[in-house]
Amino acid sequence: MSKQSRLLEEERRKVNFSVEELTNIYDGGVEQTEMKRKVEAAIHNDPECRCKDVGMMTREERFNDGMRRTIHLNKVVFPREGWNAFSKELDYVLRNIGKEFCLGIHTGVFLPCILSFGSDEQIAKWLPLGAQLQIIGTYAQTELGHGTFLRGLQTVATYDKASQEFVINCPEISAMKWWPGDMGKSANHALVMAQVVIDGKKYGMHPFIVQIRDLTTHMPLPGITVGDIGNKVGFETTDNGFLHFNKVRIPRENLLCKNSEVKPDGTYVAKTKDKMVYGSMVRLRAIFLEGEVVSALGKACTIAVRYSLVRQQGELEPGKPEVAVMEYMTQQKKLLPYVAMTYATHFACLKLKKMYNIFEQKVKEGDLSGLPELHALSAGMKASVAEQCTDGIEILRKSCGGHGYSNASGIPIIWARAVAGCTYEGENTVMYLQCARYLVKCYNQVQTNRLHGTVAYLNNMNQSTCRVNKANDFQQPAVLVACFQYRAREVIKSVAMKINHLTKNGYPNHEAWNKCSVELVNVVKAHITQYIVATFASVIDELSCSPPVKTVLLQMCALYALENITLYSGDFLKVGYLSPKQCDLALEAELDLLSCLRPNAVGLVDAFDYSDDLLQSCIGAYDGNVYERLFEWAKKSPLNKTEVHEETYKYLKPYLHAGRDILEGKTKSKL
Amino acid sequence: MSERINPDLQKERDAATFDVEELSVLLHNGAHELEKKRKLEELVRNDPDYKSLPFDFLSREAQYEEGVRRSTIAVAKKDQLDSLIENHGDLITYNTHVGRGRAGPFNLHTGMFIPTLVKQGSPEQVAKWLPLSEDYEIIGTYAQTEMGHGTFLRGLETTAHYDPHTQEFVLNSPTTTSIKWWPGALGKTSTHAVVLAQLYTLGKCHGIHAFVVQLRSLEDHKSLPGITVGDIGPKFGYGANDNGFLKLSNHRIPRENMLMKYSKVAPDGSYNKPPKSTLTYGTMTFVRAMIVRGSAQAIAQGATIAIRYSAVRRQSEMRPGEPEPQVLSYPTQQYKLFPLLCAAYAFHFVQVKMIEAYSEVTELVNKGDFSRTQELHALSSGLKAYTSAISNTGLEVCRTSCGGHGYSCASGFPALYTNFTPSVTYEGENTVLLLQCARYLVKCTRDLRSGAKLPGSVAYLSCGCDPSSIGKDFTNVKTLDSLYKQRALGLIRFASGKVDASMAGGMDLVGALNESSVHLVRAAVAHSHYFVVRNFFEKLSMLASTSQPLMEVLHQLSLFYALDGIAQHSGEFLEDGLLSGEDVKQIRQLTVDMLPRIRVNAVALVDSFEFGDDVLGSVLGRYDGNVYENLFKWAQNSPLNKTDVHPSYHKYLQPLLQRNKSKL
Repeated sequence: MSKQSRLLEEERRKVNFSVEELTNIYDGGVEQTEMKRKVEAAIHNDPECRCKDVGMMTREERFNDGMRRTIHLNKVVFPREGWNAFSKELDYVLRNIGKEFCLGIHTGVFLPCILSFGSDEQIAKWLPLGAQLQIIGTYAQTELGHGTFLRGLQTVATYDKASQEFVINCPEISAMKWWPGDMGKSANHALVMAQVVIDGKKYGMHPFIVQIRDLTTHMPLPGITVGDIGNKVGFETTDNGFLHFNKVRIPRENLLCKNSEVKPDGTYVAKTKDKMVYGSMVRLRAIFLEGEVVSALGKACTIAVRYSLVRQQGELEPGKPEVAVMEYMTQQKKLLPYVAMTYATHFACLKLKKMYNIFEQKVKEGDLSGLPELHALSAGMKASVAEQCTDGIEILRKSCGGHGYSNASGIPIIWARAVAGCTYEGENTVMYLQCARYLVKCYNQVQTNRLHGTVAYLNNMNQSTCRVNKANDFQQPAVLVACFQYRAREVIKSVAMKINHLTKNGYPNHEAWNKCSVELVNVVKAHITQYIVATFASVIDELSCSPPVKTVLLQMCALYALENITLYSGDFLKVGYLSPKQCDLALEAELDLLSCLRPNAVGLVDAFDYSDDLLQSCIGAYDGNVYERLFEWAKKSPLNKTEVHEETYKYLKPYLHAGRDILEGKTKSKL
Repeated sequence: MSERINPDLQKERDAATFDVEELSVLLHNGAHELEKKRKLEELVRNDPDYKSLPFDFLSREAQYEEGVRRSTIAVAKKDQLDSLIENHGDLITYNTHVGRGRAGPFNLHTGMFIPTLVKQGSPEQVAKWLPLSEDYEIIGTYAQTEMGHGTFLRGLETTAHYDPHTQEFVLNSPTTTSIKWWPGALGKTSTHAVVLAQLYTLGKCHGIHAFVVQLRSLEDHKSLPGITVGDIGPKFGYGANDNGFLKLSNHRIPRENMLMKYSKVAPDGSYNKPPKSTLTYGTMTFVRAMIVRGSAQAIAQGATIAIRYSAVRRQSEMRPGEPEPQVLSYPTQQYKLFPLLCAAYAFHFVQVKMIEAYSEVTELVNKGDFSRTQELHALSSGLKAYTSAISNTGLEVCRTSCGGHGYSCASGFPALYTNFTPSVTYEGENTVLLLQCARYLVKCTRDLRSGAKLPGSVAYLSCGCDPSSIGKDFTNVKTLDSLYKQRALGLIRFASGKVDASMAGGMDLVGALNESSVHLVRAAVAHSHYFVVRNFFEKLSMLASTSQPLMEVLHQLSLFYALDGIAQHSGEFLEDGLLSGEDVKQIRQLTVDMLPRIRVNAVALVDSFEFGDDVLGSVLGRYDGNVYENLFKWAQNSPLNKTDVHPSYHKYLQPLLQRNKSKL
């Protein structure tokens, strides 16, 4: 056993709580852990399912291999295990196949959209074909020139009464569809969002099903230009595509007409607006945050913490042996707050999913009143959690020093995918501002109406200050929750008053809003951090578990909160809730916590339960055998296929042979 | 270049209140230097030998090959460029354009191998190796970092045992962790390396020394016996570079291959100690100064791309019914980008200062005066860490400010970021450097107590703490200077007070420093930040012949930089009672009010950096602003588009799709 493996083993002996118990809590119950492990085993034990070493592969190799695994899963594994696209194991399937798969938009967006937008007949026609992968679809909304601003999209669908067809067209280059996943090379159908025009009148964006490739040859159909948009930061296995329409005709029936219909004679019929579209966005955001962002942070934490426990560097005391980098206070301050963030944001995502489930029940009883709150919360969470977590992944990568920069660490690949989350599915700033709109509205109501749910803390508008006078007091969840509620409330109040002041002085609403938008982003960050701290505290409060696990979770909650106080001390001081002295105490409390948590560090990341298959990291593997793994990995580099790299040596050879002749005394050097 | 400039971008350029050419000359150190840069750039641009696909579409192996091809061509052409290449800086300019801004395979050869030979080799060694190296008849690298050790030099494990019988050194990598790991061009390119190893002679270890080791045969390039060498595999960036590993097994080299300008091993094995051991700091300081310059350039490039694209991109409605505004018109977008634009200017002036300071101190050292080396070392450590960290996170802010398109390699950001980000971990990991800087600051506060006079960059530490003396006119340079000074003083005194307290309680210095390290890092950041702010103001006050309109713009940038820095770190200013909550509100409002005035010149301010389209490598940041048509052109190059129907279709999809074709 290598020295590094021994070090990690010793670390595990120090852990003073049951890792398995914490895993069960993290997963949401023992049954969930069991299901997760069952799925994991089924995938791990099937050699065709296993990820190859993606760090060494070209983009095209990753695309090909992703497609191979995706088809194998659908064709062999799903029938064998009795899973399908709607079974409860699916979340764990997605977790355990890693991120190397294709057709994610087909299953994750195209099919649900047919359900959301299609009439019963349309669903009956398209859904079974799609579910069986007999057609492959993409969701083509974003264009070269427009993303988040839906009304700005330029692709048009002009109705031709004579032939009862729509003519889909991109009037200029910026109207070309750009970015949709699976669109470049895989999909043969697309759900296209286009501006409906009938007799010269515009009716807004509508969804159409358009066949884009031939069902036999897979060649693009006439009028269609389609292809891959090229390499990106990450998402190598996805063929994000471009799609250009030059007067492509499709039958009238291909307008998905659950919400609005065009009659053969060109009459436009609007049906009731289905608000559940927004509801399903909430669900997607919760799944996305957990699956793409929080889990990525958890993996990066696992890698960085394990590596920091076996990497020995420098002397803490002169003459003594080198110490693990984790012994350095600065390293603890870099790593452990992100472990805490993983727990905090994870439980907040679980809570969001629960809120959605309750909302869905109520919708069935006809009660849609919870939607604005849920929609605002999910938008704010999306932006804030995606930003915090992806920033964290990069900090964790850098905390691994030089080796973090190698693909062998696994973190570059994890980051490259997760970071897309800051700009897709709603650009973060736009998301912040959507949430802000709701918060300002709530603030303006608070004088007349009592608020409930996630904004109930705004009801209490009394001035107060924090009473803490020793560092230890900052470990109490109630104290911390009060800090964050006060700060959030005050920053909302301050900007809401500014907006009201501006509008009273004659500024139109939109202008007052735009003038305050910089502060509004800050407001949402304060609100969401408050939500995460309060949720984490209440989750722990309701938990029945062993005292050591409860203690360590309380410490995680306090650490997440204290890190945010020390980072944003300006806010807390400005609103007058904390004094400069108390800010010092908060930092002291945080540093004390780091020392308490240090012996449990490995247990806290082990509890996330990411297998080596999923981490794909030489420096973060469970056994800690960092260096031997690194060397074995490097030997597989494509540049090492041959001892002499002939393709480049041909350029160097003339120079080097001259050097040989000089050193061997055959010729003299020029100088 | 395209004949048509995007009208939105043209409009921005027309609105600028100053002369772009004047600023370009200023930024490039005079008209003569700017002229040379433009000519070198044009030579590379018009040379058909340098045409190739964008690097983003090449596999890593093809990137490496293309890098070697370009670099060897550049070596062959260099002689023809004699009139334009007057100094090392010109060579770097030329190579930057050849490599399209990416590190080439000879960077360590020219940047580390040759300088180490020159600085640490005896005259005979220099006479033997230098001509060969300069003519690329051998190619060298610098092998210091090992798998298990980087920043902590004394921990290196590679050994060199002297054998007096054969008068050879026997080199070994005794453990897996001792394998040399990371050096650039070590894997497949280099024939030689300067290897750092623990020297053992006559049974005694004398610490780290440098040895010239031949790695590969000059006949057929095969690795020599006792040498295992190869590429360490793909990384976040640096695809064109063969960072390598090197394992030595009883590899023998002649005694003459130890670099012996200072330390010497005689044929009988007796060891001679160098007179002064701090001499190698010079190289490290210079490399750090270069990273400060790299940080300035990286953030300037990021700002160029993001600001041009934000002027071209139109999105959403600000006012109902009106045309979509340029993204650059949104205050939230301005608030993301302008602090970074200002940082690019602040960092430009600080890198100039850093290199000046390096030259001054080097001159002193050459005269035998070592009095300022510690100060310079601390300053370069702090600034390297501070500027690289800001540029690193700033590049990601620039990328995400471009929305989805920023995520595409077409934006140029993925390459820019992944190639820049190692700056925060290499040549001294940032946290370690900040602690080194802080350690010096702690030492200075002690020296003060014993009545010492402190040199330039730390002289302010003798000032009193007096928040009440700070004025309330926040657009006054003096007020801002005092605020930053008092913040740095407060944090430095707080941290060194903690260290003193721990030591008074019986802890040793190292333990006390570790216990307070979180505070020390904050102190070093505040010190470095203050230096950047003060230097920005000072450099502007020294500009003599600059026109009034340009002075006004630069002054605005320096004000915004200082004000925004306070708003971002308001906690530290509030905690020390330097500002009240109301003051911070007022300062934040001042920055928001300045946004529209900076916006008028934003495009012209990035144009002045004059990064060619080839170096930016960005479709979004093109000078002509013709973003959309060129995105489409760029995408055609994707390897997945080689055939209309991708091979994966026939292999995997077709059987599935056509199972039940009749249903449709």
